[in-house]
Amino acid sequence: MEITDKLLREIESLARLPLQQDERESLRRDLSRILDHFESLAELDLQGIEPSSHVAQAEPFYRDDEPRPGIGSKIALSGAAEIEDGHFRVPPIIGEEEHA
Amino acid sequence: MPERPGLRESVERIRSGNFSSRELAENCLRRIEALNGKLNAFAHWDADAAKADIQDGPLAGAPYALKDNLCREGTLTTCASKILEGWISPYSGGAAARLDEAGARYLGKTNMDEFAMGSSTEYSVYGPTKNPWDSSRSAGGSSGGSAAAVASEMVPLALGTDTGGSIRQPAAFCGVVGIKPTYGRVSRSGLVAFASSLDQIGTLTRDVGDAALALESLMGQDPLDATSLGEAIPALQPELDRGVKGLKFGIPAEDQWMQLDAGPARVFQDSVDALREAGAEPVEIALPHAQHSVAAYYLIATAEASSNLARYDGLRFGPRREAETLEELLLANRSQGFGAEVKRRILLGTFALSAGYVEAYYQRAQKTRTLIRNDFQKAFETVDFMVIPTTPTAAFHLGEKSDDPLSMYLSDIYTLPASLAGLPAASVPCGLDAGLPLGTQIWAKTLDEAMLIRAAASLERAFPFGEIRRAALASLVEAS
Repeated sequence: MEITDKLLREIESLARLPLQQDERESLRRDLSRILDHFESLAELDLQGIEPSSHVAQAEPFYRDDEPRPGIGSKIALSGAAEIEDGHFRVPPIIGEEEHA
Repeated sequence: MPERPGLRESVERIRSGNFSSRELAENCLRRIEALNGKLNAFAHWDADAAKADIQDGPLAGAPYALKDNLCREGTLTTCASKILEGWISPYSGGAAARLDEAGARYLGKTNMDEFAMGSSTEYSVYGPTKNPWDSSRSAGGSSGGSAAAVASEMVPLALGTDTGGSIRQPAAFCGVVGIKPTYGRVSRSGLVAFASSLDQIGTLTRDVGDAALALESLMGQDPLDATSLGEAIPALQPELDRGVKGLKFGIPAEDQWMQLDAGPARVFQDSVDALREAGAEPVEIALPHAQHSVAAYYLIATAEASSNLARYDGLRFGPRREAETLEELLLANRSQGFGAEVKRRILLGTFALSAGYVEAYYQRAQKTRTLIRNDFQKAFETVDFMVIPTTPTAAFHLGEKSDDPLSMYLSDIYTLPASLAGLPAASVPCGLDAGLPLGTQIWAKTLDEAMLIRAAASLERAFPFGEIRRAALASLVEAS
């Protein structure tokens, strides 16, 4: 499976992961080579086979829906680079003209 | 020479008053300080760890280390990634909490491939971990720091995580015992997610008995992990001396994926012969779909990773880059925060899940996973456990595969089938090839950790590896 430069840019956009120009060509070649190898799965007859999305032995279990102490917002926010009034602070998401 | 006994001996001697838990911790910390510059096994550690007064519980103050993707309250957890630089865990995950409750003493976090993505511990922001047997070689990965730390006697117990072999392969490369229990046996709460349907926490120890002791404390259901299993936890230590007489064990049938070089083939044959001499009967087992494990695994694991790693936006964790808008901030944080292999895997997984390709890649891989599970179900109708080499070769050189991702992926072929099926699996050191250790894996039925320990202990009795490791690493021992 040849990953073209155009397709790679689409994947970068879906993944929210833009590559630097100097990373792109080697990564494009790596992905193409890896996917070529994975073409071996096309040899298998998978008609009627159910996919395994997990290997859990049982249904997930649920804990009792009862209030219990949490870690609190102060500790939960402690790993963030910028906080304000108990919230994560982000750059403006509304344009200047809309502010006016 | 300062003493640094293994886990069981440490516990016994602390309990009998023959050795103080603090003295043992001090010896371990001195060892870390003396050797870490050479091996880079620890990412960071607590220089004050010996001060606390801990000596009660089943682990009696014996020291342990966590891989750097396991949360423990108040400690750095960075997954060896720039994107989590400086991040302190706000709570303890299930595994760390259980060891702390059992009275173990936390020393620090071990080096790893970034977000556990790699097989060599070279893709780390801390630089590569060196193999204690030969510092020009890889300690394996992604739990390479944990394996090197245990092999070099920095600590008697280190936890690792195994998504596709990341406990077993470094255990084999460093000549220690690595065990991945059944998927769901150890809580994944507080484990930084890579591929949620595959991730499993387990142990690296000097011998099988030490693993049995640690796993008895680690396994069990946790309300904070809905996939953790409620089934009764078997007593593992009684299994150590039961032997394998009268049991049947599977060996993989000759096939193209089982082609080994002469050295590894000889070591594996020795393992099979040892089990036969111990009274077990080998049965050749066909696993017709196991050869497709690399393709199935790398499509499923990267697809899950692409989703799990979407949370790293630079807002909630880790340092933040400069940007004008929220979108630019998100892109800058991810583009500058992730390393090359993590980027490769996020992009591969995103492709495998994308419209137009999801049927041909991700869904095919999931169906192949079903076929591999069915192969095992059939195999375990005939045998009690299976054996297979852990790796096709002994530890490779640093730099040998790091620029060739496909070759790195292909080297995982023998550990991946058990991961895809969620089976309990162990790697036990079973011989040397040109002076480097090789491991043999045991695979057992789902939930049958008792059989896993029983068979692993029998193999270990045939190859008492502790003396070999100690003699080979004597130059390291003299260093501290």
